[in-house]
Amino acid sequence: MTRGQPTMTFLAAAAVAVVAAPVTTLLVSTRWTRVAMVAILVVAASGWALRQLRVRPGWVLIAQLVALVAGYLGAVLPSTLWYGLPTLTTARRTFDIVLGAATHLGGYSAPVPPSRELDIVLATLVGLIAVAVDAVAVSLRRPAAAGLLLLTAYLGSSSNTPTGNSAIWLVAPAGLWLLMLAHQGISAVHSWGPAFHTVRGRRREPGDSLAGLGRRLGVLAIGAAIVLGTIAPLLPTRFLAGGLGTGADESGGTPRGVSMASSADVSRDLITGSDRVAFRYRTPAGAAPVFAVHVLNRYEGGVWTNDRSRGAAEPATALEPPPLDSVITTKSTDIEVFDNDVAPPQVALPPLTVGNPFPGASWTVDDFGTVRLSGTVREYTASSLNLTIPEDFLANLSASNVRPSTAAAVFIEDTPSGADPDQPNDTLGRVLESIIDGEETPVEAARKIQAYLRSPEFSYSLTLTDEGIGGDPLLSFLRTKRGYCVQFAGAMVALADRAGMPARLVVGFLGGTREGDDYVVRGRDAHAWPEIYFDGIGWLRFEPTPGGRGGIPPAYSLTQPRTNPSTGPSASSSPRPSVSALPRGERPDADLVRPTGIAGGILPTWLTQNWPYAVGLLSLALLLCAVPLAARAVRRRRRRRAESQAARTEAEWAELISRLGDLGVHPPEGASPRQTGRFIATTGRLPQEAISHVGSAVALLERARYARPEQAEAKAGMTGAIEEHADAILSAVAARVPRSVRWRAALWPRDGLFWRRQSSGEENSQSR
Amino acid sequence: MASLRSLWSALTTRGSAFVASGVCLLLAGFLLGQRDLARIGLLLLLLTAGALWFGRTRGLALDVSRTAAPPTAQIGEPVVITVRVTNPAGSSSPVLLAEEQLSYLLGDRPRFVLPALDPGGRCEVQYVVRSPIRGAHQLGPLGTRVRDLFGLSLKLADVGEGTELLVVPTPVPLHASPPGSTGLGEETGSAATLALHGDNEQGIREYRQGDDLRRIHWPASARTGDLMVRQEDRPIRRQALVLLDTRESAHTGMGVSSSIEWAVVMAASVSAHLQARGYSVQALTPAGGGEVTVSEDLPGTLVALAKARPTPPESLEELLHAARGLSRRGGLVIFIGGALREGSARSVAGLRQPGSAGLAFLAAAPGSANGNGGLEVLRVSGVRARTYDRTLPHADAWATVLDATVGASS
Repeated sequence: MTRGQPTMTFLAAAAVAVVAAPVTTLLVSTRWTRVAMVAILVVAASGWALRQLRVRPGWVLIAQLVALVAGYLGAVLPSTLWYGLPTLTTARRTFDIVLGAATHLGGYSAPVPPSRELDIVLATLVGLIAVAVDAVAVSLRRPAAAGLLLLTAYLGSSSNTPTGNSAIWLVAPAGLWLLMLAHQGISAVHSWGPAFHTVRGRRREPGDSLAGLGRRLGVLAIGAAIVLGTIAPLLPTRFLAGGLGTGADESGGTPRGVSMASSADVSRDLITGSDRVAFRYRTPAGAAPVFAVHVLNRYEGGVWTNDRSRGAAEPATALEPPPLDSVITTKSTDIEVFDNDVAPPQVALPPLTVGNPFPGASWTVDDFGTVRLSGTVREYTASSLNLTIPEDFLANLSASNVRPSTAAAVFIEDTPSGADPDQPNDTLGRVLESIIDGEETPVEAARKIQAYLRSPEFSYSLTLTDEGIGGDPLLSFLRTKRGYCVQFAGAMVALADRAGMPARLVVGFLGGTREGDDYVVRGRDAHAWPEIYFDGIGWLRFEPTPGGRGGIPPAYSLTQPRTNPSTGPSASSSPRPSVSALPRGERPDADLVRPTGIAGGILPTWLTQNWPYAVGLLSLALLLCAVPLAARAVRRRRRRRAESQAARTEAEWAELISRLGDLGVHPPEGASPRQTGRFIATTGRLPQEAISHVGSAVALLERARYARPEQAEAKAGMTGAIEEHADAILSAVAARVPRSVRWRAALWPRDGLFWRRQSSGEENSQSR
Repeated sequence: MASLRSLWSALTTRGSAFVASGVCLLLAGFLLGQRDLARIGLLLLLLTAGALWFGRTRGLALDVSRTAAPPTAQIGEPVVITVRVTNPAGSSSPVLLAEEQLSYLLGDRPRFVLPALDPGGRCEVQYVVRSPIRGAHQLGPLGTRVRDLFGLSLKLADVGEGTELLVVPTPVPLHASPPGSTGLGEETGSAATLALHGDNEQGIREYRQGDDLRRIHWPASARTGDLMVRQEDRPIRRQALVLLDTRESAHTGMGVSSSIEWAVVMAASVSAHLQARGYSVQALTPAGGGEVTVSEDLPGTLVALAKARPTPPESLEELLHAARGLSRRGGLVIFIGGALREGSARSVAGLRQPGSAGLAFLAAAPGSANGNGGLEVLRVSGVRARTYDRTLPHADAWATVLDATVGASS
């Protein structure tokens, strides 16, 4: 029974399962978990059975991989197989699936709506992790090393949630991993020898007392790690930031509470966000996508500002819904906001708020729809409308002929270029031409712009590259394709404006983080997004910021899928992460949805974006080469310095001895050449042929060392050099040492390390 | 600083890897604001720290004693060793992975797991050893390692003192009778007179021509009127002196296959054989360090032989010096040893008192004339000597040496 190691196999499989569990918080559907569980079970069962049959670890690993691939092919791509064998089509379809999953991830922030491709990829990934953990922990009996694999898998989900996984998710993987270590520890005790019992005193099984101690230690360590790790003060999470939330109050006074800057500088890096709570809210329908605070409608000189002259505020008692077509169905959701710390007059409201959210307070609303409070309101309830817009209605929407007064005015200093009259001579125009062909309906055009900005070509970064300095920041952004929400939103407004669609920039907050039943919105959740105006519906929100730092793109803003012919391009089948569909309050993530090298990843892009790593890797490689190269140089110099034939022979001999030392054969110091030769022959366990080479080398050295100079010169020239024998000797010795020693000899020769000492010693010997 | 280093050295590779990765993860978690990294880093660090804390041994004061049954063993005889481990300390001892450190000749080192012992608790471990060769074999000390369940810390310590297990050589039955003593000045080989009153009893007889004048017993002469002389009897006591020469340089072979082993078995066999025939046997064995053990009973002889080890060349002189005092009273002298040079051979031959027999077994030194030279000298001096090699059966050697000729070869 123990041969198959059932306990360890079970523990490894369970560990993989619990380590994959937190991923469920990032996805809407848990459909993939069933398949993943099956994969884990198949891996564990096959591993156990094969080990039971005394199959060697390498073959167990191969068999498990084959089983996994067979399961994948049989379940996913049976039609592409040729007599059960994968074909080129299989590979192409697999690539499509991976690409589809990556694109899907890139299109959403967590929780990610279901996708078949994503399910397949996740389940396969979990299966692969299970194979790796099984191989390392069970077959190779290295449960500690398997911890590294589990850690990687765990961080995969943890790093994709802004506040990390809930501490509770760590308990099970850590506990199972420690159980694996403990199981190995107990086996080590059992295999040490028979256990004896106490003759006098309490009878205790040695394994039990060890296990008892281990249990206490494990529980204490996990508990303390979680408590300390939770209360320990850490620096703010690096990829979260909210420069927008830390701006000064409009009145110029000291900001009370969290307030939004009235302008946004596109060229500035986002600085560390504030952890200060802006407000909390409670809603029966899950996290709200965004909360708007105010609108910026003028871009000039790299800065977004609000054109105040057009926004005359009127005292108001109720917010009216926009005039909507009858085909649009609306659903009202009440969002109770409390602990509101947004400094008045600013206030955060969900999109399409209707009615009177502040019955007991005086407030105004301006042309932009921006609500201003005259005093602090700690709690309010906003009724927000969710729109469900039929696809055919969207398709028939036309961009507004009448430009709304609140639409943004974009002034970009661009140097006209290009002599071709058929080509637009401004940067925006050229970019736009690459995105749309002019035949689209306005909604399609807007969708394409959003899709362009969300494509893997663009990456989210809090810091801007230096390339942006100089020209207009928005144009720089379109060139470097690196930025944060202000750049993405601003670029979309500018592009839409260039395409003739009225657009504007809205500043507010993302939906925040779930804490218990409530959601908390902090300063770092500050966000910016574009709105585009359409006749018949009004301002529609878009979400060009990719990944975790963007909100969830509204369903209407996504390009309808055409790649999947089984589902038609109907609105109902489109991925719809409507607000009510969000099951958990875990917040958007960064890396999971940020397009990475998986989808559009090209090495050059990676290199340009991560050149410090590339430089680091390169220097590491150079460092590794340095020692062998130095050794070569030292040897060459040693030979070049030799003036006479005898000295040359000595140098060659010294090199031979040094290289033998690298291989672990250290002749005694001060031995005569013959003694050294005998030592090499016996210690290196050399074959007869190599021994004769040693003999020749020793003879040459003796002649050089002891013969009269003129004789030596004459004879050494005739009989050749030690060098000719060195290779045969060294290769014979190398053939008998472990591979690790050979590698160390090649990569870490002593000649390359102690060249200074050696060269000085050599001079001493020559001067003697 | 030193304690920090000792703490670090108590960690296994896994333990130090945990500490290193724990520190890295904690730092990364702190700098990147990733709580999960910090938690996992803390887990690794706390786990290792806890393992060190629980694994601290405080000197590991355990009493270890061993008994062997039988206390002195024959070659190949199974011996049951009982190890008693008692915890005299005021706190419980940890679970110990113990390995009894045995002389490699006794076979695999037994490994066992000792339970955690409460204060005053005791544990008994038994194992069986069997030695293929004679000797005083080392038992213990008990090598122990204390490890934690997760394999993060490991402490090695030797507990208690070691003892010795004596494995005595097995005497081989010899058949031929030992040679009788030859009377002084007579050729018959039968005993002339027997002293009935003890070693120093003196008889008085009439003066005969040629008697030493100094031996005249004047009171008796006065009483009887005739010259009477003291007659010092050389009592024909059945007495034998067995000398074992263990000079490493004079023997051939190494270790178990050394001719010393043959000599030891021969010495044991001869001692047993002679004692069975009523001889009082004194066995002389070099004990190393210039000492020579003289043992008079068989068990003592066997113990001395069990402890015999190869000795430096000077040991022969020491052996002969010790033997000279004992041989003065005559009796059979049996020399068992390595090859002899002429000079040494003469000294050996000198041990044989007139009228008593001398036997010698010399290791054959292949390629060296020294052994033969000594052999010749011994023969000429009236010692029945022969050479041997390891393969010669002891009984044959005994039988043939009794038939050996003495005197100068023609």
